[in-house]
Amino acid sequence: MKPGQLRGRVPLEPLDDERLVRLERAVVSGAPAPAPPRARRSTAAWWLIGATLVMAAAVGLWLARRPAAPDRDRTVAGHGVPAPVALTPSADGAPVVVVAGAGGAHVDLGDARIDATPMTSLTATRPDGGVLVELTVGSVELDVDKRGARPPLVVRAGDVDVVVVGTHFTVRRPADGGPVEVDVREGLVQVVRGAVTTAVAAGQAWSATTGQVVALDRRTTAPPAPTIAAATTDKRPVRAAGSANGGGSGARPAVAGSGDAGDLGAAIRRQPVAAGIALGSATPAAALAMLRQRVTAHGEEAAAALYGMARLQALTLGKTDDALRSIDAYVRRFPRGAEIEDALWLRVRIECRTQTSEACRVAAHSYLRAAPSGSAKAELATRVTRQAS
Amino acid sequence: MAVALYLDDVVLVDRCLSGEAAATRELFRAHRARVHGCLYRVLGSNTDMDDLMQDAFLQVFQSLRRWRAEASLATWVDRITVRVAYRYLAQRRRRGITVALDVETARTGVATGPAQQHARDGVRRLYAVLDGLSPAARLAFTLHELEGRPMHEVADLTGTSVTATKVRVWRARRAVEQAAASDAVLAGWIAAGDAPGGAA
Repeated sequence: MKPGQLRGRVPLEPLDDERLVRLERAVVSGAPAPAPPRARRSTAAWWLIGATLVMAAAVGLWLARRPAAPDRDRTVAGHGVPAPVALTPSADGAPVVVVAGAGGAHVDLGDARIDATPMTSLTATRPDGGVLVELTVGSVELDVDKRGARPPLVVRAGDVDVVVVGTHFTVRRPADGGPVEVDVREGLVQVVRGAVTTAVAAGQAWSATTGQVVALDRRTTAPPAPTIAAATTDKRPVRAAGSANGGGSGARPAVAGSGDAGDLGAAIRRQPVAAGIALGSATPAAALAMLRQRVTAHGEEAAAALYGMARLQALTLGKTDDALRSIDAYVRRFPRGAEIEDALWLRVRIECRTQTSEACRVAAHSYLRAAPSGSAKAELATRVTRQAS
Repeated sequence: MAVALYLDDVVLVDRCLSGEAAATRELFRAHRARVHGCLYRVLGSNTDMDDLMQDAFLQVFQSLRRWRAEASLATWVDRITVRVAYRYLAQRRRRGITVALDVETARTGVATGPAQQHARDGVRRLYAVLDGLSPAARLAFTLHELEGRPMHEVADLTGTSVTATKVRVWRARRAVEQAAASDAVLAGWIAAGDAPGGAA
Protein backbone atom coordinates (compact mmCIF):
# COMPACT_ATOMS: atom_id res chain seq x y z
CA MET A 1 0.00 0.00 0.00
CA LYS A 2 1.47 3.30 -1.04
CA PRO A 3 1.32 6.40 1.15
CA GLY A 4 -1.69 8.50 0.25
CA GLN A 5 -3.25 5.68 -1.75
CA LEU A 6 -6.39 5.70 0.37
CA ARG A 7 -6.84 9.46 0.47
CA GLY A 8 -10.43 10.41 -0.32
CA ARG A 9 -11.44 6.75 -0.75
CA VAL A 10 -13.95 6.71 2.11
CA PRO A 11 -17.05 8.46 0.83
CA LEU A 12 -18.73 10.69 3.36
CA GLU A 13 -22.30 9.83 4.25
CA PRO A 14 -23.95 13.21 4.84
CA LEU A 15 -26.25 13.85 7.75
CA ASP A 16 -29.79 14.62 6.76
CA ASP A 17 -31.26 18.07 7.37
CA GLU A 18 -33.45 16.92 10.22
CA ARG A 19 -30.49 15.63 12.18
CA LEU A 20 -28.52 18.77 11.46
CA VAL A 21 -31.35 21.00 12.63
CA ARG A 22 -31.74 18.96 15.80
CA LEU A 23 -28.03 19.10 16.40
CA GLU A 24 -27.86 22.81 15.82
CA ARG A 25 -30.71 23.39 18.21
CA ALA A 26 -29.09 21.23 20.85
CA VAL A 27 -25.71 22.85 20.43
CA VAL A 28 -27.01 26.41 20.39
CA SER A 29 -29.20 25.90 23.41
CA GLY A 30 -26.51 23.90 25.15
CA ALA A 31 -29.05 21.17 25.80
CA PRO A 32 -28.78 17.50 24.80
CA ALA A 33 -30.42 16.46 21.56
CA PRO A 34 -34.05 15.72 22.19
CA ALA A 35 -34.45 12.29 20.69
CA PRO A 36 -31.32 10.28 19.95
CA PRO A 37 -32.56 6.69 20.26
CA ARG A 38 -29.82 5.29 22.44
CA ALA A 39 -30.40 2.82 25.26
CA ARG A 40 -27.58 4.12 27.44
CA ARG A 41 -29.15 7.54 27.53
CA SER A 42 -32.81 6.70 27.38
CA THR A 43 -33.43 6.23 31.09
CA ALA A 44 -31.97 9.57 32.12
CA ALA A 45 -33.59 11.31 29.16
CA TRP A 46 -37.03 9.98 30.02
CA TRP A 47 -36.63 10.99 33.64
CA LEU A 48 -35.64 14.47 32.49
CA ILE A 49 -38.59 14.74 30.10
CA GLY A 50 -40.97 13.44 32.76
CA ALA A 51 -39.74 15.89 35.35
CA THR A 52 -40.04 18.76 32.87
CA LEU A 53 -43.60 17.79 31.97
CA VAL A 54 -44.61 17.54 35.61
CA MET A 55 -43.14 20.96 36.32
CA ALA A 56 -44.84 22.47 33.26
CA ALA A 57 -48.18 20.97 34.32
CA ALA A 58 -47.76 22.35 37.84
CA VAL A 59 -46.95 25.83 36.54
CA GLY A 60 -49.91 25.68 34.11
CA LEU A 61 -52.25 24.62 36.90
CA TRP A 62 -51.02 27.43 39.11
CA LEU A 63 -51.51 29.98 36.34
CA ALA A 64 -54.98 28.69 35.53
CA ARG A 65 -56.13 28.88 39.14
CA ARG A 66 -54.57 32.25 39.83
CA PRO A 67 -57.13 35.08 40.00
CA ALA A 68 -57.05 37.42 37.01
CA ALA A 69 -55.07 40.59 37.63
CA PRO A 70 -56.12 43.17 35.05
CA ASP A 71 -53.82 45.82 36.45
CA ARG A 72 -50.64 43.88 35.86
CA ASP A 73 -48.40 44.19 32.84
CA ARG A 74 -49.30 41.72 30.14
CA THR A 75 -46.31 40.19 28.55
CA VAL A 76 -47.98 37.27 26.79
CA ALA A 77 -50.92 37.75 24.46
CA GLY A 78 -54.10 36.39 25.98
CA HIS A 79 -52.42 35.47 29.21
CA GLY A 80 -54.79 35.63 32.17
CA VAL A 81 -57.83 36.61 30.12
CA PRO A 82 -60.74 34.37 29.05
CA ALA A 83 -61.02 34.56 25.28
CA PRO A 84 -59.51 37.50 23.44
CA VAL A 85 -61.56 38.93 20.60
CA ALA A 86 -59.85 38.83 17.22
CA LEU A 87 -60.62 41.71 14.89
CA THR A 88 -59.21 42.56 11.51
CA PRO A 89 -59.65 45.98 9.94
CA SER A 90 -61.70 46.09 6.78
CA ALA A 91 -59.93 46.27 3.47
CA ASP A 92 -61.21 49.74 2.67
CA GLY A 93 -59.15 51.17 5.51
CA ALA A 94 -62.09 52.10 7.69
CA PRO A 95 -61.08 52.62 11.30
CA VAL A 96 -61.35 49.75 13.73
CA VAL A 97 -62.72 50.84 17.05
CA VAL A 98 -62.00 48.44 19.87
CA VAL A 99 -63.50 48.60 23.30
CA ALA A 100 -62.15 45.56 25.04
CA GLY A 101 -64.38 43.79 27.50
CA ALA A 102 -63.35 41.71 30.45
CA GLY A 103 -61.62 39.25 28.12
CA GLY A 104 -59.34 41.80 26.50
CA ALA A 105 -59.01 42.03 22.72
CA HIS A 106 -56.66 40.93 20.01
CA VAL A 107 -56.39 42.93 16.79
CA ASP A 108 -54.46 41.48 13.88
CA LEU A 109 -53.56 44.19 11.40
CA GLY A 110 -51.57 41.85 9.21
CA ASP A 111 -48.26 43.58 9.78
CA ALA A 112 -48.86 44.17 13.47
CA ARG A 113 -50.67 42.41 16.26
CA ILE A 114 -52.20 44.28 19.13
CA ASP A 115 -53.21 42.76 22.44
CA ALA A 116 -55.35 45.03 24.53
CA THR A 117 -55.93 44.43 28.22
CA PRO A 118 -59.49 44.35 29.56
CA MET A 119 -61.34 47.65 29.40
CA THR A 120 -58.92 49.14 26.90
CA SER A 121 -60.29 51.45 24.22
CA LEU A 122 -58.48 52.15 20.99
CA THR A 123 -58.97 53.09 17.35
CA ALA A 124 -56.76 51.66 14.60
CA THR A 125 -56.53 53.34 11.19
CA ARG A 126 -54.19 53.20 8.22
CA PRO A 127 -53.41 56.74 7.14
CA ASP A 128 -51.09 56.96 4.11
CA GLY A 129 -50.02 53.34 4.32
CA GLY A 130 -48.93 53.64 7.94
CA VAL A 131 -50.74 52.42 11.00
CA LEU A 132 -52.10 54.75 13.64
CA VAL A 133 -53.32 53.27 16.89
CA GLU A 134 -55.00 55.90 19.02
CA LEU A 135 -55.10 54.66 22.58
CA THR A 136 -57.96 56.25 24.43
CA VAL A 137 -57.38 54.38 27.63
CA GLY A 138 -55.90 51.17 28.88
CA SER A 139 -52.86 49.19 27.87
CA VAL A 140 -51.84 47.69 24.55
CA GLU A 141 -49.02 45.35 23.77
CA LEU A 142 -47.85 45.32 20.18
CA ASP A 143 -45.83 42.90 18.12
CA VAL A 144 -44.86 44.76 14.96
CA ASP A 145 -43.19 43.25 11.90
CA LYS A 146 -40.24 45.15 10.51
CA ARG A 147 -41.69 47.91 8.41
CA GLY A 148 -38.82 48.38 6.00
CA ALA A 149 -39.59 51.27 3.68
CA ARG A 150 -43.25 51.47 4.70
CA PRO A 151 -44.47 54.39 6.77
CA PRO A 152 -44.12 53.75 10.48
CA LEU A 153 -46.66 52.47 12.95
CA VAL A 154 -47.58 55.08 15.50
CA VAL A 155 -49.30 54.57 18.82
CA ARG A 156 -50.78 57.83 20.03
CA ALA A 157 -51.63 58.12 23.71
CA GLY A 158 -52.77 61.66 24.38
CA ASP A 159 -49.89 63.96 23.54
CA VAL A 160 -47.41 61.13 23.32
CA ASP A 161 -46.59 59.46 20.00
CA VAL A 162 -44.67 56.20 19.96
CA VAL A 163 -43.13 55.74 16.51
CA VAL A 164 -42.29 52.16 15.64
CA VAL A 165 -40.20 50.61 12.95
CA GLY A 166 -40.53 46.97 14.00
CA THR A 167 -40.51 45.85 17.58
CA HIS A 168 -42.42 44.49 20.57
CA PHE A 169 -43.55 46.96 23.18
CA THR A 170 -46.32 48.07 25.53
CA VAL A 171 -48.02 51.46 25.88
CA ARG A 172 -50.19 52.30 28.88
CA ARG A 173 -52.51 55.26 29.23
CA PRO A 174 -54.26 55.34 32.60
CA ALA A 175 -57.85 56.52 32.83
CA ASP A 176 -57.12 58.86 35.72
CA GLY A 177 -54.87 61.01 33.56
CA GLY A 178 -51.74 59.46 35.01
CA PRO A 179 -48.53 59.41 33.00
CA VAL A 180 -48.28 57.45 29.78
CA GLU A 181 -45.73 54.65 30.02
CA VAL A 182 -43.85 52.74 27.34
CA ASP A 183 -42.00 49.45 27.85
CA VAL A 184 -39.88 48.11 24.99
CA ARG A 185 -38.98 44.44 24.88
CA GLU A 186 -37.52 44.12 21.37
CA GLY A 187 -36.16 46.58 18.84
CA LEU A 188 -36.40 50.30 19.37
CA VAL A 189 -39.14 52.93 19.31
CA GLN A 190 -39.11 56.67 19.31
CA VAL A 191 -41.32 58.41 21.79
CA VAL A 192 -42.32 61.82 20.46
CA ARG A 193 -43.81 64.27 22.91
CA GLY A 194 -44.12 67.80 21.63
CA ALA A 195 -40.73 68.76 20.25
CA VAL A 196 -38.86 66.11 22.19
CA THR A 197 -37.97 62.75 20.66
CA THR A 198 -36.63 60.02 22.90
CA ALA A 199 -35.32 56.69 21.66
CA VAL A 200 -36.32 53.77 23.84
CA ALA A 201 -34.41 50.57 23.15
CA ALA A 202 -35.11 46.97 24.06
CA GLY A 203 -35.02 46.42 27.80
CA GLN A 204 -35.89 50.05 28.50
CA ALA A 205 -38.97 51.88 29.68
CA TRP A 206 -40.11 55.47 29.33
CA SER A 207 -42.56 57.37 31.47
CA ALA A 208 -44.25 60.70 30.75
CA THR A 209 -43.68 61.63 34.39
CA THR A 210 -39.98 62.20 33.96
CA GLY A 211 -39.64 61.98 30.20
CA GLN A 212 -36.60 59.82 30.86
CA VAL A 213 -35.52 56.36 29.86
CA VAL A 214 -34.84 53.77 32.53
CA ALA A 215 -34.01 50.10 32.45
CA LEU A 216 -37.17 48.03 32.21
CA ASP A 217 -36.35 45.96 35.25
CA ARG A 218 -35.76 49.09 37.33
CA ARG A 219 -39.17 50.57 36.65
CA THR A 220 -41.32 50.16 39.74
CA THR A 221 -44.35 52.23 38.85
CA ALA A 222 -47.44 50.01 38.80
CA PRO A 223 -49.91 50.81 36.03
CA PRO A 224 -53.18 52.23 37.30
CA ALA A 225 -56.43 50.39 36.65
CA PRO A 226 -57.81 51.41 33.25
CA THR A 227 -61.37 52.53 32.70
CA ILE A 228 -63.15 53.68 29.58
CA ALA A 229 -62.77 57.35 28.85
CA ALA A 230 -63.69 59.73 26.08
CA ALA A 231 -61.81 59.38 22.80
CA THR A 232 -58.93 61.68 22.15
CA THR A 233 -59.54 64.63 19.87
CA ASP A 234 -55.94 64.81 18.80
CA LYS A 235 -56.03 64.48 15.00
CA ARG A 236 -52.45 65.06 14.06
CA PRO A 237 -51.27 63.06 11.05
CA VAL A 238 -48.85 60.19 11.39
CA ARG A 239 -45.30 61.41 11.22
CA ALA A 240 -42.94 59.82 8.77
CA ALA A 241 -39.83 58.17 10.22
CA GLY A 242 -37.69 60.89 8.76
CA SER A 243 -39.63 63.63 10.46
CA ALA A 244 -39.37 61.84 13.74
CA ASN A 245 -35.65 61.96 13.26
CA GLY A 246 -35.71 65.61 12.61
CA GLY A 247 -35.51 65.16 8.87
CA GLY A 248 -38.36 67.40 7.79
CA SER A 249 -40.83 68.16 10.52
CA GLY A 250 -41.26 71.66 11.78
CA ALA A 251 -40.41 70.75 15.31
CA ARG A 252 -36.77 69.91 15.77
CA PRO A 253 -36.51 66.82 17.94
CA ALA A 254 -34.23 67.22 20.88
CA VAL A 255 -32.13 64.59 22.54
CA ALA A 256 -33.87 63.75 25.73
CA GLY A 257 -33.71 61.42 28.65
CA SER A 258 -30.10 60.65 29.26
CA GLY A 259 -31.15 58.83 32.40
CA ASP A 260 -29.92 55.40 31.42
CA ALA A 261 -27.65 55.87 28.50
CA GLY A 262 -25.53 52.98 29.65
CA ASP A 263 -28.34 50.67 28.58
CA LEU A 264 -28.33 52.15 25.11
CA GLY A 265 -24.61 51.63 24.96
CA ALA A 266 -25.03 48.04 26.03
CA ALA A 267 -27.74 47.57 23.45
CA ILE A 268 -25.52 49.00 20.74
CA ARG A 269 -22.59 46.82 21.76
CA ARG A 270 -24.78 43.70 21.70
CA GLN A 271 -25.85 44.15 18.10
CA PRO A 272 -23.90 42.48 15.30
CA VAL A 273 -24.46 45.54 13.16
CA ALA A 274 -24.43 47.75 16.16
CA ALA A 275 -25.93 50.94 15.04
CA GLY A 276 -28.68 49.09 13.21
CA ILE A 277 -30.47 49.04 16.51
CA ALA A 278 -30.89 52.74 16.29
CA LEU A 279 -33.67 52.49 13.78
CA GLY A 280 -34.36 48.80 13.31
CA SER A 281 -34.97 48.26 9.63
CA ALA A 282 -34.69 51.91 8.61
CA THR A 283 -31.92 52.91 6.25
CA PRO A 284 -28.35 53.05 7.56
CA ALA A 285 -28.27 56.71 6.59
CA ALA A 286 -31.27 57.42 8.83
CA ALA A 287 -29.67 55.47 11.65
CA LEU A 288 -26.48 57.42 11.16
CA ALA A 289 -28.40 60.71 11.25
CA MET A 290 -30.06 59.74 14.48
CA LEU A 291 -26.81 58.69 16.09
CA ARG A 292 -25.11 61.86 14.92
CA GLN A 293 -27.86 63.82 16.63
CA ARG A 294 -27.26 61.99 19.87
CA VAL A 295 -23.55 62.61 19.68
CA THR A 296 -24.22 66.27 20.38
CA ALA A 297 -25.42 65.35 23.86
CA HIS A 298 -23.11 64.71 26.77
CA GLY A 299 -22.10 61.75 28.83
CA GLU A 300 -22.65 58.07 28.24
CA GLU A 301 -25.41 58.55 25.71
CA ALA A 302 -23.15 60.55 23.41
CA ALA A 303 -20.36 58.02 23.88
CA ALA A 304 -22.62 55.13 22.93
CA ALA A 305 -23.88 57.03 19.91
CA LEU A 306 -20.37 57.90 18.75
CA TYR A 307 -19.26 54.30 19.00
CA GLY A 308 -22.46 53.26 17.21
CA MET A 309 -21.62 55.68 14.43
CA ALA A 310 -18.16 54.20 14.06
CA ARG A 311 -19.54 50.67 13.82
CA LEU A 312 -22.21 51.68 11.38
CA GLN A 313 -19.68 53.47 9.20
CA ALA A 314 -17.18 50.62 9.31
CA LEU A 315 -19.32 47.51 9.19
CA THR A 316 -22.47 48.58 7.38
CA LEU A 317 -21.55 51.51 5.18
CA GLY A 318 -17.96 50.48 4.47
CA LYS A 319 -16.74 54.02 5.14
CA THR A 320 -13.64 53.07 7.05
CA ASP A 321 -12.08 56.54 6.91
CA ASP A 322 -15.19 58.03 8.48
CA ALA A 323 -15.22 55.23 11.01
CA LEU A 324 -11.60 55.91 11.98
CA ARG A 325 -12.45 59.57 12.46
CA SER A 326 -15.39 58.62 14.68
CA ILE A 327 -13.15 56.32 16.70
CA ASP A 328 -10.55 59.06 17.10
CA ALA A 329 -13.29 61.41 18.25
CA TYR A 330 -14.48 58.81 20.71
CA VAL A 331 -11.00 58.28 22.13
CA ARG A 332 -10.49 62.03 22.51
CA ARG A 333 -13.87 62.71 24.11
CA PHE A 334 -14.38 59.57 26.13
CA PRO A 335 -11.02 58.02 27.01
CA ARG A 336 -12.72 56.19 29.87
CA GLY A 337 -15.99 55.53 28.07
CA ALA A 338 -17.81 52.24 28.39
CA GLU A 339 -17.11 51.46 24.74
CA ILE A 340 -13.43 52.41 24.70
CA GLU A 341 -12.19 48.83 24.41
CA ASP A 342 -14.69 48.02 21.68
CA ALA A 343 -13.85 51.22 19.83
CA LEU A 344 -10.13 50.48 19.92
CA TRP A 345 -10.72 46.93 18.78
CA LEU A 346 -12.78 48.26 15.91
CA ARG A 347 -9.75 50.29 14.91
CA VAL A 348 -7.64 47.13 14.98
CA ARG A 349 -10.16 45.41 12.76
CA ILE A 350 -10.09 48.24 10.27
CA GLU A 351 -6.35 48.82 10.22
CA CYS A 352 -5.30 45.18 10.24
CA ARG A 353 -7.86 44.00 7.74
CA THR A 354 -5.52 43.75 4.80
CA GLN A 355 -2.00 43.76 6.18
CA THR A 356 0.03 44.19 9.32
CA SER A 357 0.96 47.78 8.58
CA GLU A 358 2.35 50.39 10.92
CA ALA A 359 -1.17 51.72 11.44
CA CYS A 360 -2.27 48.20 12.38
CA ARG A 361 0.50 47.93 14.97
CA VAL A 362 -0.34 51.36 16.39
CA ALA A 363 -3.99 50.33 16.65
CA ALA A 364 -2.99 47.12 18.42
CA HIS A 365 -0.81 49.09 20.85
CA SER A 366 -3.70 51.42 21.66
CA TYR A 367 -6.02 48.51 22.12
CA LEU A 368 -3.68 46.75 24.52
CA ARG A 369 -3.50 49.82 26.73
CA ALA A 370 -7.25 49.68 27.27
CA ALA A 371 -7.95 45.97 27.06
CA PRO A 372 -7.74 43.43 29.85
CA SER A 373 -5.00 40.91 29.28
CA GLY A 374 -5.74 37.28 28.67
CA SER A 375 -8.42 37.53 26.04
CA ALA A 376 -7.95 36.19 22.55
CA LYS A 377 -8.16 39.71 21.19
CA ALA A 378 -5.42 40.87 23.53
CA GLU A 379 -3.23 37.91 22.61
CA LEU A 380 -3.65 38.66 18.95
CA ALA A 381 -2.93 42.34 19.46
CA THR A 382 0.17 41.45 21.46
CA ARG A 383 1.49 39.32 18.64
CA VAL A 384 0.86 42.12 16.20
CA THR A 385 2.85 44.55 18.31
CA ARG A 386 5.69 42.07 18.71
CA GLN A 387 6.05 41.95 14.97
CA ALA A 388 7.04 45.58 15.06
CA SER A 389 10.01 45.03 17.32
CA MET B 1 1.54 36.14 10.92
CA ALA B 2 -1.46 37.04 8.85
CA VAL B 3 -3.50 38.88 11.46
CA ALA B 4 -6.34 39.37 9.05
CA LEU B 5 -6.89 35.60 8.96
CA TYR B 6 -7.62 35.59 12.67
CA LEU B 7 -9.65 38.76 12.95
CA ASP B 8 -12.94 37.19 11.92
CA ASP B 9 -12.34 34.23 14.21
CA VAL B 10 -11.57 36.54 17.12
CA VAL B 11 -14.69 38.58 16.53
CA LEU B 12 -16.83 35.47 16.20
CA VAL B 13 -15.43 33.98 19.39
CA ASP B 14 -15.96 37.24 21.19
CA ARG B 15 -19.58 37.29 20.11
CA CYS B 16 -20.03 33.70 21.25
CA LEU B 17 -18.50 34.51 24.62
CA SER B 18 -20.89 37.41 25.03
CA GLY B 19 -23.73 34.92 24.78
CA GLU B 20 -24.96 35.84 21.34
CA ALA B 21 -26.99 32.89 20.07
CA ALA B 22 -26.59 33.96 16.44
CA ALA B 23 -22.82 33.75 16.81
CA THR B 24 -23.06 30.29 18.32
CA ARG B 25 -25.16 29.23 15.37
CA GLU B 26 -22.71 30.83 12.96
CA LEU B 27 -19.78 29.00 14.49
CA PHE B 28 -21.65 25.70 14.40
CA ARG B 29 -22.57 26.13 10.75
CA ALA B 30 -19.07 27.18 9.80
CA HIS B 31 -17.45 24.10 11.30
CA ARG B 32 -20.06 21.36 11.30
CA ALA B 33 -18.92 19.93 7.96
CA ARG B 34 -15.29 19.60 9.03
CA VAL B 35 -16.24 18.11 12.39
CA HIS B 36 -18.53 15.61 10.74
CA GLY B 37 -15.97 14.77 8.05
CA CYS B 38 -13.23 14.19 10.58
CA LEU B 39 -15.39 12.04 12.86
CA TYR B 40 -16.80 10.07 9.98
CA ARG B 41 -13.40 9.17 8.54
CA VAL B 42 -12.08 8.18 11.93
CA LEU B 43 -15.10 6.10 12.86
CA GLY B 44 -16.34 4.94 9.48
CA SER B 45 -20.02 5.50 10.08
CA ASN B 46 -22.65 7.91 11.31
CA THR B 47 -23.57 5.71 14.24
CA ASP B 48 -23.45 7.84 17.38
CA MET B 49 -22.57 10.81 15.18
CA ASP B 50 -25.20 13.11 16.71
CA ASP B 51 -23.89 12.52 20.20
CA LEU B 52 -20.29 12.92 19.16
CA MET B 53 -20.84 16.11 17.20
CA GLN B 54 -22.82 17.52 20.05
CA ASP B 55 -20.08 16.59 22.50
CA ALA B 56 -17.48 18.15 20.26
CA PHE B 57 -19.31 21.44 19.82
CA LEU B 58 -20.27 21.73 23.45
CA GLN B 59 -16.61 21.26 24.35
CA VAL B 60 -15.69 23.86 21.77
CA PHE B 61 -18.07 26.36 23.33
CA GLN B 62 -17.01 25.48 26.86
CA SER B 63 -13.37 26.02 26.04
CA LEU B 64 -13.67 29.07 23.82
CA ARG B 65 -12.35 31.26 26.61
CA ARG B 66 -9.06 29.43 26.42
CA TRP B 67 -8.62 30.02 22.70
CA ARG B 68 -5.82 32.51 22.26
CA ALA B 69 -5.76 32.87 18.49
CA GLU B 70 -2.44 31.02 18.43
CA ALA B 71 -3.95 28.76 15.81
CA SER B 72 -6.98 29.26 13.66
CA LEU B 73 -10.34 28.46 15.13
CA ALA B 74 -10.62 25.58 12.66
CA THR B 75 -7.50 23.96 14.07
CA TRP B 76 -8.82 24.45 17.59
CA VAL B 77 -12.08 22.78 16.61
CA ASP B 78 -10.15 19.94 14.96
CA ARG B 79 -8.15 19.30 18.12
CA ILE B 80 -11.29 19.03 20.18
CA THR B 81 -12.92 16.80 17.58
CA VAL B 82 -9.95 14.46 17.58
CA ARG B 83 -10.03 14.34 21.37
CA VAL B 84 -13.72 13.45 21.31
CA ALA B 85 -13.08 10.75 18.71
CA TYR B 86 -10.20 9.32 20.72
CA ARG B 87 -12.26 9.13 23.89
CA TYR B 88 -15.10 7.46 22.04
CA LEU B 89 -12.78 4.88 20.47
CA ALA B 90 -11.17 4.17 23.82
CA GLN B 91 -14.53 3.66 25.50
CA ARG B 92 -15.74 1.46 22.70
CA ARG B 93 -12.60 -0.61 22.85
CA ARG B 94 -13.01 -1.11 26.58
CA ARG B 95 -16.55 -2.30 26.04
CA GLY B 96 -15.56 -4.48 23.10
CA ILE B 97 -18.08 -2.88 20.76
CA THR B 98 -17.61 -2.82 17.01
CA VAL B 99 -19.67 -0.66 14.76
CA ALA B 100 -21.73 -2.00 11.89
CA LEU B 101 -20.25 0.03 9.08
CA ASP B 102 -22.34 1.91 6.61
CA VAL B 103 -25.63 1.35 8.32
CA GLU B 104 -26.58 4.70 6.92
CA THR B 105 -25.59 3.77 3.40
CA ALA B 106 -27.55 0.56 3.55
CA ARG B 107 -30.60 2.33 4.85
CA THR B 108 -30.52 5.19 2.40
CA GLY B 109 -29.62 2.90 -0.47
CA VAL B 110 -26.91 5.20 -1.80
CA ALA B 111 -24.44 2.56 -2.89
CA THR B 112 -26.31 0.10 -5.04
CA GLY B 113 -24.28 -0.64 -8.20
CA PRO B 114 -21.63 -3.41 -8.36
CA ALA B 115 -18.74 -0.93 -8.26
CA GLN B 116 -20.22 0.90 -5.31
CA GLN B 117 -20.99 -2.37 -3.60
CA HIS B 118 -17.39 -3.42 -4.06
CA ALA B 119 -16.16 -0.11 -2.69
CA ARG B 120 -18.49 -0.40 0.26
CA ASP B 121 -17.27 -3.89 1.02
CA GLY B 122 -13.70 -2.68 0.81
CA VAL B 123 -14.35 0.18 3.19
CA ARG B 124 -16.13 -2.15 5.57
CA ARG B 125 -13.15 -4.52 5.59
CA LEU B 126 -10.80 -1.62 6.13
CA TYR B 127 -12.67 -0.41 9.20
CA ALA B 128 -12.90 -3.97 10.50
CA VAL B 129 -9.11 -3.98 10.48
CA LEU B 130 -8.99 -0.54 12.10
CA ASP B 131 -11.28 -1.82 14.85
CA GLY B 132 -8.43 -4.06 15.93
CA LEU B 133 -5.97 -1.17 16.29
CA SER B 134 -5.34 1.04 19.28
CA PRO B 135 -7.33 4.28 19.24
CA ALA B 136 -4.12 6.28 18.83
CA ALA B 137 -2.97 4.26 15.84
CA ARG B 138 -6.37 4.39 14.26
CA LEU B 139 -6.56 8.16 14.67
CA ALA B 140 -3.11 8.66 13.23
CA PHE B 141 -3.84 6.38 10.28
CA THR B 142 -7.24 7.81 9.41
CA LEU B 143 -6.17 11.44 9.79
CA HIS B 144 -3.07 10.92 7.69
CA GLU B 145 -4.02 8.25 5.17
CA LEU B 146 -7.73 8.84 4.71
CA GLU B 147 -8.02 12.57 5.40
CA GLY B 148 -4.68 13.39 3.86
CA ARG B 149 -3.38 15.56 6.68
CA PRO B 150 0.39 15.94 6.90
CA MET B 151 2.26 14.12 9.66
CA HIS B 152 3.11 17.24 11.62
CA GLU B 153 -0.54 18.30 11.63
CA VAL B 154 -1.65 14.87 12.82
CA ALA B 155 0.97 15.03 15.55
CA ASP B 156 -0.28 18.44 16.58
CA LEU B 157 -3.92 17.35 16.62
CA THR B 158 -3.23 14.21 18.61
CA GLY B 159 -0.76 15.87 20.95
CA THR B 160 2.16 13.60 20.14
CA SER B 161 5.51 13.90 18.43
CA VAL B 162 5.90 13.53 14.70
CA THR B 163 8.05 10.46 15.23
CA ALA B 164 5.43 8.74 17.37
CA THR B 165 2.81 9.61 14.80
CA LYS B 166 4.88 8.12 12.00
CA VAL B 167 5.33 4.92 13.97
CA ARG B 168 1.59 4.67 14.59
CA VAL B 169 0.75 5.26 10.96
CA TRP B 170 3.32 2.69 9.90
CA ARG B 171 1.94 0.08 12.29
CA ALA B 172 -1.60 0.68 11.15
CA ARG B 173 -0.56 0.51 7.51
CA ARG B 174 1.22 -2.76 8.16
CA ALA B 175 -1.90 -4.17 9.85
CA VAL B 176 -4.01 -3.18 6.85
CA GLU B 177 -1.51 -4.72 4.44
CA GLN B 178 -1.39 -7.95 6.41
CA ALA B 179 -5.16 -8.12 6.40
CA ALA B 180 -5.25 -7.40 2.68
CA ALA B 181 -2.84 -10.29 2.05
CA SER B 182 -5.52 -12.70 3.16
CA ASP B 183 -8.57 -10.70 2.09
CA ALA B 184 -9.14 -10.42 -1.63
CA VAL B 185 -11.92 -7.89 -1.25
CA LEU B 186 -9.79 -5.53 0.80
CA ALA B 187 -6.79 -6.07 -1.45
CA GLY B 188 -8.92 -5.41 -4.50
CA TRP B 189 -10.32 -2.25 -3.01
CA ILE B 190 -6.88 -0.93 -2.09
CA ALA B 191 -5.53 -1.79 -5.52
CA ALA B 192 -8.46 -0.04 -7.19
CA GLY B 193 -6.96 3.21 -5.97
CA ASP B 194 -4.08 2.68 -8.40
CA ALA B 195 -6.32 2.16 -11.39
CA PRO B 196 -7.32 5.24 -13.41
CA GLY B 197 -10.60 6.47 -12.02
CA GLY B 198 -10.48 3.81 -9.40
CA ALA B 199 -10.56 6.08 -6.42
CA ALA B 200 -14.03 6.71 -5.00
